[in-house]
Amino acid sequence: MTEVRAGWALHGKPRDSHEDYTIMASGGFGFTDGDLMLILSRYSLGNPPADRDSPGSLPWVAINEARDGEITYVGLTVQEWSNDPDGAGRPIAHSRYFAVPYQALCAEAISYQDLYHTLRRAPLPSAGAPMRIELSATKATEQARSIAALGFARVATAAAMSLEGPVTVTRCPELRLEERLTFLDAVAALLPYGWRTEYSAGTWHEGGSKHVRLAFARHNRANSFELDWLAPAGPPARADIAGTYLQRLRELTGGGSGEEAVARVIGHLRLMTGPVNGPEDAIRSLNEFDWHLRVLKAARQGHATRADLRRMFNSEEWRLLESQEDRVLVFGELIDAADREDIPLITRVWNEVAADHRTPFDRLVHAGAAALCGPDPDRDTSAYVAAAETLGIGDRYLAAVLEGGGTTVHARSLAVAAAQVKRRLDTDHAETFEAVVRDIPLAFALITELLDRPEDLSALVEQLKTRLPVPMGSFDAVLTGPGVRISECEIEQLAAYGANCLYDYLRVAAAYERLGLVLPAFVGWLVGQARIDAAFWGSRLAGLERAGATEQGVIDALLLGLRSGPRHLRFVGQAEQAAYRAGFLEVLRLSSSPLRARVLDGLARHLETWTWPAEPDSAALVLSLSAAVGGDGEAGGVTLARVVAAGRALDPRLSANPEYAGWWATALREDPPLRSEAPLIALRALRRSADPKQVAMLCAEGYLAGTTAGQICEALRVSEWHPTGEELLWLLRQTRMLHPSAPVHSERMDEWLRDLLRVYIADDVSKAGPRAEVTLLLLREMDFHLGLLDCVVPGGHSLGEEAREGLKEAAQRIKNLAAEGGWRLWRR
Amino acid sequence: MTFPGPEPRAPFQGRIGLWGAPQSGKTTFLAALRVAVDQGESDWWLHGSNDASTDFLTDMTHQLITLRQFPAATLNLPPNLQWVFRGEREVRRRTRFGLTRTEREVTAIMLDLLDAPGGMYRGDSRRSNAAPSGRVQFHDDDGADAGDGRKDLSEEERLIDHLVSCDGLIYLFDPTRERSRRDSYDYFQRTVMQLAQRAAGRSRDRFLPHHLAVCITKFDHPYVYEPAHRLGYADNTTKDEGFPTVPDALAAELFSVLCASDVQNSAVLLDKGIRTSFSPDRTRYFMTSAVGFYLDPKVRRFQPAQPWNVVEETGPEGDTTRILGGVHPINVIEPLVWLATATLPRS
Repeated sequence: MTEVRAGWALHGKPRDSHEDYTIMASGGFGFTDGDLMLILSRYSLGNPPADRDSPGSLPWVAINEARDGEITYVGLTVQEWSNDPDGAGRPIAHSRYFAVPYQALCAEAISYQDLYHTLRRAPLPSAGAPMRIELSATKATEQARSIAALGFARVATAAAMSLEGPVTVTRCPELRLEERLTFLDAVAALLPYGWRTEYSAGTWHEGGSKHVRLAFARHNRANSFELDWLAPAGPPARADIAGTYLQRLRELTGGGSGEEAVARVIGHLRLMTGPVNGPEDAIRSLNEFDWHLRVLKAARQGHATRADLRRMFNSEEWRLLESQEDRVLVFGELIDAADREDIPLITRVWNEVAADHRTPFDRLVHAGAAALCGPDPDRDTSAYVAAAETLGIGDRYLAAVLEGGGTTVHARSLAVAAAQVKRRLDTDHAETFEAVVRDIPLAFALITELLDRPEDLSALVEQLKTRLPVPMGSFDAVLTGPGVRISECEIEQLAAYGANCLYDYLRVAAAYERLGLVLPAFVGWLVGQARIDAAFWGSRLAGLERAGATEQGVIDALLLGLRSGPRHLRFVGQAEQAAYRAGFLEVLRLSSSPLRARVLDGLARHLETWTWPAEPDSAALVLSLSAAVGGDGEAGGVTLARVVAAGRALDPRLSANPEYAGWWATALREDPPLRSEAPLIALRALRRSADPKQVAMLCAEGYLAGTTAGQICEALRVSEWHPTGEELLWLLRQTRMLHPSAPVHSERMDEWLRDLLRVYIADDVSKAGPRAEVTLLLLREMDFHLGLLDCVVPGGHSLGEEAREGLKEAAQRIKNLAAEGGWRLWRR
Repeated sequence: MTFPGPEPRAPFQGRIGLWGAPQSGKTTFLAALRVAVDQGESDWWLHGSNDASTDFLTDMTHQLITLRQFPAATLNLPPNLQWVFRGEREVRRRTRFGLTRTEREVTAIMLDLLDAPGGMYRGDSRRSNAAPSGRVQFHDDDGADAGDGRKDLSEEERLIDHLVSCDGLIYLFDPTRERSRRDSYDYFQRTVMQLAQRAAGRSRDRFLPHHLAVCITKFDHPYVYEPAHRLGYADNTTKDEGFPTVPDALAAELFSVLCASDVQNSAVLLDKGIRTSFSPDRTRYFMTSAVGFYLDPKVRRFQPAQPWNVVEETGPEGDTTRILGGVHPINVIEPLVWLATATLPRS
């Protein structure tokens, strides 16, 4: 039984009225009297004859539709004579109009006849109030029986033709109202149920509206197909859609000979409750007869598509599957293929299909467990668990999901799983708790999930103490403090349950700022491992928060040893540097030689990625740390020393840092050639944006260290710094100025600088390269100097001999240069 | 019945509109046409040109004559009735030698009639107190027609379209309704305004272009017969059965007299409205009764004491009015003949 709220209206006029017909009362919907008149007029069956015993006499029943926004109403109008005359003494015909929301009829596929019988008996409520009626589902077998009684050919032909246009049933004077209504209903039963949102019909048509799709009448209506009741013929040749539809109906029902086959087709069509977009769509609906069996077959073979499975349950076509086993099977396939969007559908159908079966539950668990490892584990898992809770199986389901549904919960999903448990700590989830107890990594993940709820965390730890085989007392030290240092043995025990457990323990310690109690033992344990999961610990240690300076040093050293970048090095303030350094060195102290080499190598590689020399605090820490770890001939020590030396490329003033001297002494002990090579190392490391003044400083240091001009040039070429002609000239002058003897003239220095220039531009043959640019700059400068000479050479006075000879020599050199340059140019 | 001579040319398409307040007897007037044709001495006869129109004639005739029932009220605007009105008329033709000669010619007029519910003439929107809110919709509201390829006009649009295109109009005035309701003018003036808006430009003079037959209905009702008799308009001598008649020449005057008796002035306005809207040359008045006066079956004579041919009775179908005696329509075919001949081309 479905309870339905129906709208209604009474059309007529009061006794003795001289006025026209009108709406006398209505209720149950938002239509105005004008709207109701429009509906009645649009689907009017005409003007009833006054006599009471002709085929066209009242009562009449009209079937129609109307829409109010998103709501489509299926309407029935029952028109009968009243016993009252109007003002002219004429009988008054009353029409009772009923409208039921289409959606209310869909689920139970209620027929027009059942609707009519229910509504006809129901008294009209008071004006404004809706009618409340109870409707029972209409059986397809009963409709099939009616079709057989009426003649399948008649009904099917009318159904097919009504897809293409109005149909008039003629030559049936002996048919009573009930029989006509049965016929109209039978025709509708052979059309997709959704067609009822467009269907209109009448038990008689006496000059009524052309909008009435199917009606009985004395003669065929204009522009209408005629169905001769006594000699029903098929649709005319021009009605090809009707012909196709009729042909399919005949094929699917064996010509309508078997009621069972007809009932199956009706059952199929009544599932087609969506809008029918034209007659072709109706044919498509018919062509999909037995579609559910095709999907079942595909599901059995394991290759049903998700789209088909969705449609099967969205459209209610699963009801066509005869056995419960088949329904469960297809539903299971849907669960397997589902994603988060399908969960509401699964929830909706669950109780009808799967509630008493183990397999769907297992598959749902499997889907939930798989969601834990999916691309969006938190939202997906939440959706599944919420669905299970809606279905009243939340605790059992979550416990099963946590136990993996037969698979192992992926490590990275532990946090998601723990978060699910956390949300349900305050509710009765006994099975879930037991699942947590059985899964120690999950229990630890749950502990870390509760870091923001200290009281719950302590309570949970207390509970777990009695249930877990793990030494949960280790947590006391970090939770309650001030505690004793954790031993390596305890770390070993925790690690036995997996790296995640140990990491979760470190997280708790870090969150309670008691990492210092744990890290020494942890380092001891870690460096003692034959094989370390570097990727795991590299990412996890970097994520530890609230570590002190010493612990930061420990962590950074470990990270470097694990081939990860240090997390804290850049951010250590001056005051914490000693503690940081101590922690760092403690790790090195405990480490094996290869591990120490990895740490130093990692530090060297890290320094190359960062402009540490430009930050005085960082520079001091790097220099002091490098000094502390070097000098022992340790593998990696030389590399580190040279990387630090290269730091001067970024800022030559590094050498002024107070820690520099200490480092330099250690570095020379580690790598004696560094003394002469340091300027070249720095020059090779020059960046594109290097300051020429700083380059000049390095060049001058190279000169003093005995480096040749060729070596300097080679280092510059290797570097990223490629000077313009002007910068090159500036570099030479600045280098000359930085010479300790400057500004005193040094012939050797000048020669070294000329060599530098000569070698640097040796291969430059372009017209706009440094050579040409330097030449022009020098000529301009020479012009300037000649101008100065003009000022100092006294006009009319004789020059001194030395000056005159100098000028002559200069003139000759210029002349030679010009000639040589021309020759070179010519030769080129 | 067949006519001698060659078949007439294709029927002249004449449109005749029927117009009147609710209960003014429009449907009964049409229902009595067949009886009037068969009982009358006119040279015209009538048949349907399609199944529905033929059914209407035969069913209504059966209802009036056999069942003695009046037609039920018209609820909805039905399809147009299409009847062929065939008859003979005199036409003047010019011979090859330039002489004029009068001939009788077989003529057929296709009558296109629309029997609308009376309330529509007052412009009652959907004949209800409230206009549609625009809220209700239908599945094919997107402009699709219902299969006939024509634009889906509203009933009011269809009615006015029809009246505008008519050549002649039959206006039914029910003095009995006017006596109690005094609203005839309501049903007259709105329609006149709509006609003027759309058809006045077609006219060669200052009036509407239509011919108008004003039928004063229910002549057999005491409220109508009495004053006609008392004031000397009724003549009992022209018919064998002694049925009263009013000469057409006096009908207009009687109409004015009946209208002038209205103390509320509605009928007076109606009278004046007709005269100012329709050309006197294109207007005629008829005293009409669809069922005619009661004929005393014993003496086969009209009895002035019992003019009314209607009886009220209570039966299994409730309280109804029925036709008391035989049906003898008065001035039912005549307005149609006049309109048909007046609107036909003269030669």
